[in-house]
Amino acid sequence: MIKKVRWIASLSNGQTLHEERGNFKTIDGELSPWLRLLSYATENNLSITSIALTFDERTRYNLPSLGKNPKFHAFAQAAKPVAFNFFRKLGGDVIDGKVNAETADHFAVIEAQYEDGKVIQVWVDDANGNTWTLMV
Amino acid sequence: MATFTFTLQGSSDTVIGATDRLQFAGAGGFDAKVPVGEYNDTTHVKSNADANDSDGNSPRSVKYISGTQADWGDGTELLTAITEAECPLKINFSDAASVAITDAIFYAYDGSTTTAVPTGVTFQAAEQGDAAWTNAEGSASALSLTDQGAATSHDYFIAVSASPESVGLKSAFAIRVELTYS
Repeated sequence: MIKKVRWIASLSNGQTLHEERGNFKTIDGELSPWLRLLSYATENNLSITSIALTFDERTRYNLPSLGKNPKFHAFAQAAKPVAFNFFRKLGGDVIDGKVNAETADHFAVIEAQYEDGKVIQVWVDDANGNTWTLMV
Repeated sequence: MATFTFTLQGSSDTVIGATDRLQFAGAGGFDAKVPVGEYNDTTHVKSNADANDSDGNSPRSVKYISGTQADWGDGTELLTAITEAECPLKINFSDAASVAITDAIFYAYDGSTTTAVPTGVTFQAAEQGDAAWTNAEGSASALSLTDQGAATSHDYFIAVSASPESVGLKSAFAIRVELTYS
């Protein structure tokens, strides 16, 4: 299944990195772009300050960030996450002809983790860009 | 690109294709009915043209005996004794990049609502190495699969066994796997 939804992450040194661009392209047999990003951040003592998803390089889905230039007062007032994460979720059926890539469910997920343990997740469907927000 | 492949293991493996079905059958083999209240004696892959795709492949089958016991052809044994090769179902997840897998779950449901139990079927599942069966019906009762570190290919070996609760074909019965990777 094609990964149409990709992450964009900003780091504490001001860099903004994109999945499938520059050093974070998929390389067969190498660690995934996300695992390489985590490794890069650790090696350089950096942290993630914001994360977003894009669908087909057009629509962008953002989580609350640690950004210093909020456009609205509400953004400035909002609680700040303490950590961010990204993963993909795949679900497929074994029976009734639903095991192939075209019928499996494939989502990209970003999450913001808060000090009180709450987590906000944004799920984006790789098939059509539909999105859901969860608090877990 | 990520891909899921479901295989019924045997002397030769049978890939369960997009329009195939996994068939739980009785002692008579392909298309043999399983008596109500008993568990399957054989397991097969049935094509959408009703052909026996696993014919000649000596497909593996595991029969639920008790919460910790099963029969996979040598009489009743502890579930802990089953090997990877003896498990009927192999689920492979692969990706071009090396990815880690967490929170993988496996369960049966009614084919339309993942939280709903399959209709008229009791379903048991265990991952190779488990000490006990899981009555994996509906996502809330799913079998949890072991996390796996970064690799381009990941295999899960699973024993499955099913028992009809009533007479007739069970169509509201699907098996699903979900996983997280990054």
